[in-house]
Amino acid sequence: MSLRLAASAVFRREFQLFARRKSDWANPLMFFVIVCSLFPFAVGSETERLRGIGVGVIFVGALLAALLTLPRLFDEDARDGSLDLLLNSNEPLAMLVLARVAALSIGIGAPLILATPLFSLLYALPSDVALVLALAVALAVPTLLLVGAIAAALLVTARGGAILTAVLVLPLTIPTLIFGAGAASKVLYGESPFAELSLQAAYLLFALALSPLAASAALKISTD
Amino acid sequence: MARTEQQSNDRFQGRWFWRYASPAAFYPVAGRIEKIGWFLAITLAIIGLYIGFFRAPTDAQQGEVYRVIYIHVPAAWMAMIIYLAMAFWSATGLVLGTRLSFMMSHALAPTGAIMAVIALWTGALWGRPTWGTYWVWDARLTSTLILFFLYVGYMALAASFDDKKKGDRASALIALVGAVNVPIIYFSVNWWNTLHQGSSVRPGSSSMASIMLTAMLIMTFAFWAYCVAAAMHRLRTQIIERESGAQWVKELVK
Amino acid sequence: MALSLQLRDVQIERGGRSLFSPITATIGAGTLVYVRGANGAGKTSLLRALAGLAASSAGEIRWGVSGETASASVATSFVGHANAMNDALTVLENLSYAAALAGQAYQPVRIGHALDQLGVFKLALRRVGTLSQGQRKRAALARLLLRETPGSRAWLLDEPFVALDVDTQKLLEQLIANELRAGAIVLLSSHQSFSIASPQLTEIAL
Repeated sequence: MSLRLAASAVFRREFQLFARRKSDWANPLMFFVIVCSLFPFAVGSETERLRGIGVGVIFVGALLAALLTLPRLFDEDARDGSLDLLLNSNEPLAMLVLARVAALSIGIGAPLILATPLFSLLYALPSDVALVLALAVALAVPTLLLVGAIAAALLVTARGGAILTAVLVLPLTIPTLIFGAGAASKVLYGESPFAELSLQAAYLLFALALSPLAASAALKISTD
Repeated sequence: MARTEQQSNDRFQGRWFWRYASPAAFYPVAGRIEKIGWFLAITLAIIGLYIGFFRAPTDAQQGEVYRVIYIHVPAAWMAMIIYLAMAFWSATGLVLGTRLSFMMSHALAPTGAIMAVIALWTGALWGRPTWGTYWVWDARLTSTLILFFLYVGYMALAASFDDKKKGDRASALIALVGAVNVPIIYFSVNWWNTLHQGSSVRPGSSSMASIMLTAMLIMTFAFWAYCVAAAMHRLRTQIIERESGAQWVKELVK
Repeated sequence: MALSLQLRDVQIERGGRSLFSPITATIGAGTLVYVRGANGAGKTSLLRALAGLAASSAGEIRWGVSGETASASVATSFVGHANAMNDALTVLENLSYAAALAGQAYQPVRIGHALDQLGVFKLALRRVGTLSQGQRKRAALARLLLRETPGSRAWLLDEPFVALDVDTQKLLEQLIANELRAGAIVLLSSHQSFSIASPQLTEIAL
């Protein structure tokens, strides 16, 4: 009962913050939009070429946008001391971290997922590819944030946090990148994306099971 | 679950394996292991390279270039094995709180990273004449590259804490997270590789004559010995550095 | 609901060296403990360790509630240098978040009462970012008064009088005295002098 109370308080607070500070979710979205818009300037705007790189560009762009929000997880709280409230709660820290990552996934992920089909149009991807790509991004963003929560928790008090977070987290997102982008590519070639999407979902479940525990252990290490 | 070193000490004091958990006790042992390691590494490498380069026949398909496998394959194996060893010592350190375990994992990391670099380097040297390019996105090479990233992340994380103890535990945790993910990453990279039709010829993929196999085995042992010796050397340096306040180190240096 | 605290050979390490010599103490309900020490002596570290926010490197810290061992998260409320309030949220939102994490359902009346006791009831709906340092501190201290019943939690206060004006310091001293009378344990560190009427007074000198 009191776990639900605490977890929902954590969850609600994230959305209060999203409502107060629109930049929290709008900036990652803008980052995503701009990154995706840069590529045609670099590689040219022929439809065939854009279609070839579209899936990869959009997927990696979404991952990077989500990556940039990782410091938001614990850094501000560590500065203003609210992190102590989380650590000092009698409820399992892993569940509270999970609630927070879930809220962040929705708050950050939803705009990215909604923008994905739009960019699929700009990259001349057919609508069925766009839908699967949006689904793949929807699976990838929480995965990245879950894995990233571990690194963000470790680096709360360390030097050079943001870049080191990227170095630690990005290699671990390769499975979800391969399966997610693979699923959209499969549809592009007229095949079923089911196998890739299942594997991507499996990796998300795996991260869901282990990451909160690792992240709470990490928080205890770094705030000790 | 996790203990401090003091608590572990109260629990395990007097057991045979606990005797060497103290850096002071392990320091001379590490020295002996290091000497044996260097000796074995050099001897075995000379024998292995001699057999591999002068005795083993030329490969029917790949010509002389194939001989890089005597270095490439053992290095790739060691890169993998050392990561697991690192994760093992990290886990030990987290559970028992022993500082020697953390030092062990810090000592292993650079050697593992070097092994990954050797594997990538020799892979590229082999790739140029065989594939016509230094790098192809072959599943095994790509996996080794990712493994290298994991090593770099581990070392960068360990270096970014001013408080050594914190850095120990933090990097140990990330080593464990990496170790859990490595099989999944390998699986996914394989999946991706078959999807995108990588090259079918790989270092060491053709059937080998038994003398080639002998040379490779000897070289593998040589690499093992080198890695053990290098890790022990680094471990000794770390012990001296970290325990520099302790009485026995002061007497040793005097 | 009698609180008790036992320290046995407690030591804390920072950067590989012990901050202070081992502390052993038994502290009963209604005791005011003044944690004294120079800068860097480890006052904050000790208070954080007592709050369960950091691990001690050796020894044992045991909180007791009604004779039974309890975790620090149940037995204590900690107010440190930072106010534990997010600037973008209102005082009320921040305090209800803190209350929920401490296991209490949303009770605006209790929060209002706590704010009132510190004289900052009017600020309940203001965003923390718009408040002065002193106002923030008062609002943060209101968190202490959210406990189920007076005296049910030990207060761990790290420099509570910083940024408070004379009247507010008096007010806080009064609140601490009341809490002690209700059976709480209060541990505080302070560079300022203060006077708190207390049945029992102990010092931990670091």
